[in-house]
Amino acid sequence: MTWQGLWIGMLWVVLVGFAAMSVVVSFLGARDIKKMLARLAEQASDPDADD
Amino acid sequence: MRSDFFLLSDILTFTDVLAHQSLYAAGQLSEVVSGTNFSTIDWIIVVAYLMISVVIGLLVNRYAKSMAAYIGAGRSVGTWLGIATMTGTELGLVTVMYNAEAGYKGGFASFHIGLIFGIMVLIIGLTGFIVAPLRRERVLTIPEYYEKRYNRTARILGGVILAIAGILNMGVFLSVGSKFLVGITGLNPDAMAVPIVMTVLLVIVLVYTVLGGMISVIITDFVQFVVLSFGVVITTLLAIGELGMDEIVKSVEANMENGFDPVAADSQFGVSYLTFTVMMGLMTCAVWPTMVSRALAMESDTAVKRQYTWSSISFAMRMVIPAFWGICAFVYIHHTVGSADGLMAEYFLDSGEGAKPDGAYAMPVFLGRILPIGLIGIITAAMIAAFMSTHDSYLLCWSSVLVQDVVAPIKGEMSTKDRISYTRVFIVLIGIFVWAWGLFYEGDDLIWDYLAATGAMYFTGAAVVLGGGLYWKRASSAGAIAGLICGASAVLGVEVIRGKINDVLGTQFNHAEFGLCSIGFSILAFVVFSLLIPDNPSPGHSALDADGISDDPFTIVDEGNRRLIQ
Repeated sequence: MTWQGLWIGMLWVVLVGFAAMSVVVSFLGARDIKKMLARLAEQASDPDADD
Repeated sequence: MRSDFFLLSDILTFTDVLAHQSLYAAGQLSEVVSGTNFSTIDWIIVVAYLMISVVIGLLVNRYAKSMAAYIGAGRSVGTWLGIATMTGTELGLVTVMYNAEAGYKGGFASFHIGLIFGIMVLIIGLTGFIVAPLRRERVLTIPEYYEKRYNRTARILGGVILAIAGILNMGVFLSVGSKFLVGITGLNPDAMAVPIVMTVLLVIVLVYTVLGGMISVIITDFVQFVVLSFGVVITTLLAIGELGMDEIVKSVEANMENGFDPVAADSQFGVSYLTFTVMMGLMTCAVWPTMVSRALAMESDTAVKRQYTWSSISFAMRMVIPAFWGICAFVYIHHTVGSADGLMAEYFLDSGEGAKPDGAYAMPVFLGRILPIGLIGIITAAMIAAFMSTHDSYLLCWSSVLVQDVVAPIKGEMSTKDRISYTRVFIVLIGIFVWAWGLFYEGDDLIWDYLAATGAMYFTGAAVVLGGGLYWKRASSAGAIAGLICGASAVLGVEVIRGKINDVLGTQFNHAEFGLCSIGFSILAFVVFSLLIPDNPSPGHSALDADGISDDPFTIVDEGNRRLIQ
């Protein structure tokens, strides 16, 4: 394998891998936000919540 | 006195040269940047995006009813959201700029930096090297671990070195970010655009940092991640479509000395550079405070490992893709020779006397030419958001270290209110320093090399002392202090100091060789002093008890620390 082949292969792997990861993280991250806000709302309504 | 004199004369000569160069080059540069596609519609997109981000931040801040929610988002951040925010914070505008510059000057060979960092993050994710045991120690900051494992002197010394290195490191962020905005929007550099943009950005960031809470930071980080991900992929495909991959490769082969082999003597890099990058990759990914702070806030060791493992992809991406944009800028500029847009080549390729083109502008100017109206606005807005999220994290991080690990241990007793007040004062002071440093400092090193040399001042000693403390039973406080001091010697690799040393010694060492020497000195000093001066032989002794509370008059320090985060 040449340096040239390595870097071009790496460019495509990184680009495609990041695109796929972005889709997964965007959807599951949005779900995590909903969960986080629900949990925070719960904590905010609890008068014994940590300060 | 002698060294002070030399420094002063250097500064005077340096500013004279800068003034001369800017007179020559700024006129050309203003014409070059004016060819951008950036339009009024894009300005509207930028303003709307930033306003929406601020509104989202303010809306979600109503959830911050407690200190826990305000500072730590109630420890409710899931793995996927954690990955998005880690990427959002670490993919800053300066990251894009320094990698683009490395690609512009070093070609495809610069990809080795992204490859090495991606592999190192993956290794840490799979093994939990340093970060997993550090999290098990239940400390909140790295210097706090120094006190727990060694003594208070190590904590204060470690805090001082960390803060100085971090502040010097971010010293170029503001000017580099401003160059991107000037380059892509076509603002006139002759009309003091860079200092004005620097000032405006700094004021926005300071207000945002002082007022913003962790919940709003996380939500806006997530929005930034989504927008930037989309923008990064589309921009890369557009660049390939514009130039053609075959043409990019051919042009690099024809016009760059060695644009593929990073270990070749005639490349921009070389063996010592690559070796230092490997060491640096492992050390920074394991001990860089803004990364480690996220690891320490995760719910478990497993979550930390998963976060690092997945982030290895985005860590490789954040270096490889901007470097590729820099390569595309290089190719595009060479294509403009003799064309209607030939002024670009005239500015960036002309090596006439006195002219010193600023390669940092190449990538934003290139993007300004190829991105269509609308998309260019979205990319610019996301970059400004990236700039802000990096700055607020870094400003908060270094000011917190100064308060928690330097001022508080020295003062003894400090209330939470005092700590917050001191933190805000330090945020403003660091902001002012970064503004002034950004205006003054313009060394000839790559931006990446400057960041590596200043960062090494901290991470060299920190990695040795942390790794030794976690994995070697005979590590002692004397060894830790010696290791930290020797590690800080890496700052000698910064161009302004390194040049003087090379002149005196008649050598031509680069920053990587200085860095490798510092790593060697740090390890050697740490081991030798640990063996020669062992700690008090009371097994399991630490300055802090199991709850991280000190058993001496500084108790309030760690209590306050914990209250701020929990």
